[in-house]
Amino acid sequence: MPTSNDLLQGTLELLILRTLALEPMHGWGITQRIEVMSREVLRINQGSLYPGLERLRRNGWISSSWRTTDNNRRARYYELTAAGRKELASQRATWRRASSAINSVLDWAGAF
Amino acid sequence: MGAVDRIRFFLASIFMRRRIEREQSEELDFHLDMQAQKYVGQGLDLVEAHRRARVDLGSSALAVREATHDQRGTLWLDEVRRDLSWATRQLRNNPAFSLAAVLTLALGIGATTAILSVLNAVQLRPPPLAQWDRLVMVWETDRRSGTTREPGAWPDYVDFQQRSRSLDAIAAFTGRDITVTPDGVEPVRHVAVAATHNYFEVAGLTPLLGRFFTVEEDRPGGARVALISESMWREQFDGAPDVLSRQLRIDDELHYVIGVVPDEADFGLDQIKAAAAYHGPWTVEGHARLWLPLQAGEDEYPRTTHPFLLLGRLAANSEYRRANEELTAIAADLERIHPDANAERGVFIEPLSAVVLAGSRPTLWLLLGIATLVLVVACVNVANLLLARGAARARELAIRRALGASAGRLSRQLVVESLTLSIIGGVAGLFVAAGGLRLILALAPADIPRIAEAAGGLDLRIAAASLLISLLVGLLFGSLPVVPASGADPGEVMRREGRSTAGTGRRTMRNFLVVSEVALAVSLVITAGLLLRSFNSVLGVDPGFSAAGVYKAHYDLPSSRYPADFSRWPNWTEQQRAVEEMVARSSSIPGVTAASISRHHPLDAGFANSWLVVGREVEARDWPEIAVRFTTPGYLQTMQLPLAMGRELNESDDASAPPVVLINQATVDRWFADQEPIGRELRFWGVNRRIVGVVANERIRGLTEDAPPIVYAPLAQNPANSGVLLVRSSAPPAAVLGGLSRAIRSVDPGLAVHGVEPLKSTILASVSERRFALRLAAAFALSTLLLALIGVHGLVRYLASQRTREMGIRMALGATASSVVALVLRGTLGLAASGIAIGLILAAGVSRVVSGFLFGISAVDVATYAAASGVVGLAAFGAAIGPALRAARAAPLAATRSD
Repeated sequence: MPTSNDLLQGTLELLILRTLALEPMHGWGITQRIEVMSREVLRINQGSLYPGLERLRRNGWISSSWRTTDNNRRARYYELTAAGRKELASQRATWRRASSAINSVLDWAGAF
Repeated sequence: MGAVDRIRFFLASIFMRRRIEREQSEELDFHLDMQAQKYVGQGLDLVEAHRRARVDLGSSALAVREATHDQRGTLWLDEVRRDLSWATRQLRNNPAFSLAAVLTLALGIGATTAILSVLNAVQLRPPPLAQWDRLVMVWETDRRSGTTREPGAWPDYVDFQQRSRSLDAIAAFTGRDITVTPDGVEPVRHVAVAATHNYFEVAGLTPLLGRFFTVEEDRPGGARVALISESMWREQFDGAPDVLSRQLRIDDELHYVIGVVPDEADFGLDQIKAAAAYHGPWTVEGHARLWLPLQAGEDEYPRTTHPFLLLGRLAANSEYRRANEELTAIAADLERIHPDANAERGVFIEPLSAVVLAGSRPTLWLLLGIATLVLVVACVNVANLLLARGAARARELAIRRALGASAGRLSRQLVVESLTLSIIGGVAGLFVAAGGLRLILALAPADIPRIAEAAGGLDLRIAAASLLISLLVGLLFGSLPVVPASGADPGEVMRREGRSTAGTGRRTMRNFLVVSEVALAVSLVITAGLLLRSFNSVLGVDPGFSAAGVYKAHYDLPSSRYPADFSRWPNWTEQQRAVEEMVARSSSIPGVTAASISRHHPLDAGFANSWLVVGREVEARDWPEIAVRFTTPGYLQTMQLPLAMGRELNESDDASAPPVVLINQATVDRWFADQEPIGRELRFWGVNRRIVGVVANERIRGLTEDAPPIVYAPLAQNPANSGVLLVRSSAPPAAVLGGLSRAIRSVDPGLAVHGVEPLKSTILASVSERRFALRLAAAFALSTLLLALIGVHGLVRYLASQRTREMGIRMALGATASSVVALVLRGTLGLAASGIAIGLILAAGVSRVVSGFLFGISAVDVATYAAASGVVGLAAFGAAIGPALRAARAAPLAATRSD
């Protein structure tokens, strides 16, 4: 199965933003969520996750804060910012257009 | 995201990195734990779960950290910081190498900076005169006697001044010995400069207070005014601001003080005086403290006498050659118009800087040469050390390349290491420079012009330059090892370096390093040795007279009480009486075995005069001037100067007796080789004098110059208003010196006495410049010797210890410890021998360059060469023995394991 390394970096960020749109989450939680939402297809490697999170943070699309989990452990939680929400919407639209275009090419049965 | 936020991020990553790293660790730990928990939930036991989780995280942890670092954009900063700590650790772990390198750099940079700072202050920085490169000395020449650099005649000066277009203005000046009598205190001798009113303008000086002379004050019989130097203002008047209304008693007459000039107004009068072929009575040494108007006129100074030095300033659009031509034409004109006074007289101009700095130029060039040499040696040493170390680390670097380090990363680490070394060495060098500067100034004779200005401190530009050079050397040789490593395939390098003994390439380089280091060391030690021995020779020269036990005291008879009436000459009864009394009274001082008075003391070259032998007038036209000395009869006893022929001068040779003279051996050798000199007559100052005796040679021109032809005439027949009292005594110096001053004062209490010292001191002072040069040369040659020895020792020791593994293998294969040690030592000695051979040849060449400073020793003196070779060879041997023995003592396996 394609690992997160094979996915475009940008796609990972899209997935992270999408995940955080549901609710604030810590890093490990994000990987688990994506795994579940992709029906076990996508397994995110820590090597890509945290740099990605850092990038998103630098661009101001997510913010982080330290909180305690249900098990009373300290963890860093990330959440979407307002700018992040806008970015998510825009990247989602881009993805839809790109993927439908690719599908169109792959399913071409017509003539030139 | 705004720029502000980005900046905030950036700053945060620099200043809060520890916290950030901590948080990152915590985050990753959390992730690890959660993953482990998941595995536990899937059925694995705790330990296994953690292991799996760690494997998942595993090698990517560092990658994560690095990647996140990358995102923050401060990766390079972190790496440099890491490189720096790695570098310092490396240096700390190799103390011998680091110490050798740092010491070398410190010595090299320090010595060079100190010397060049002095050079800059003395030679290169212009003195505080306006545009001093436009100043020239206008010398007259005499084609008849072949003398150049003569002072000029007053009417000539006036003519030059009026007619010349290429010179804006010319000033005439001369030095004068004067006596200053502050109220109620003992009279003191000083040097004054008498100059025309435009002197200061020509020189480009401005007064600190007051004004310069006016044209009226500069006329014969003009007002009694004077300018004083800044230091005199401070000493005599305590720097009082009302000095301009005060008076000063100069030569028994009151003068008004009209201004104060800076001390630098004496920009090298001593040097000008020394350059001139002769000069008037101007014997007191030291900087000029008073300035008087020249007040010269044609009546007192007709065209036939040449008492004045001429200082000119080139006009804005003229240059030397043109000015020279113009003046020569004017002189030829004057020759035509005044054939009796100016026959065969010419003129030429010389830049003032050439005159003032000429004497000290050789010394300063020597200093420059030494400084360069020291820096070169230091750089070569450091380069050698770095190359040796680089070669030894080739394997380590190859391994790291194989593990994935980029060539750039490796170079950067090596560069950081070299830079660290260079910076430490450089900073240490600055301290050495400061100390060195103080040392030079302490050793320097005060008469190197403007040396006091060097006390201002190190020239920062020079310090920066030497620092830069050392940095460059460090950079270049420190990063060289990476060059082969980056090109080659790491595997290949590993294979090559993995061999137990050095391959031919490495061995050749190692050999080359040792040989070159030894060669350099040997040539330096030889040069140092030659210079040192020259110094000894100079002081051992027989001056021709016996200076031990001789003391001198200068006196001057003021013309107010001892009229210098040329109409009565030589019957100057007051002067005769004073002279006789002084000799008589000093003879009666206990311990004095002989006393006499001479116009000049034995180390003062005094007058030279044109002369001839009666009957050989035609031949004498081409003769150079002869040195003329006037003495009382006891002179030969006082100086223990042997009489070679004839008789001495005695009391009967007085003013009423026929004029007689003695000549010295040099005169006889030159002009009486096939004639009997006794009985012949020679003529100078318009008087025929009979030669009655021949004396041995005195080196009156200083210890290193041969005695010139000299004629001695009785003082009684040629009286003068100044002279030197000379006594020979076996009593302790303090008693004699006091007795001398008292003897002179008892004859006339108003006489100023100066220059009272043992003749030995005068001799030492006369060689002071050379002594300084040689002391300095010796000191710095010694430091290069030290550098060379450090270099040889450090290098050989390092390389010997590198062969530890090789020795271990040999011993493992069955060689005995002693045979292996012998092998290493033999190899080292062989290299040292070739290094010494090359060094000897190099030294022969180098010493030819400094042969101008060598005295009494050949540039290829066998003893020195042998000693130098011995010393350096010993150093190399000593350096190799330690590591060789140490390595042999360790078990062979331990030896092979050492990396």
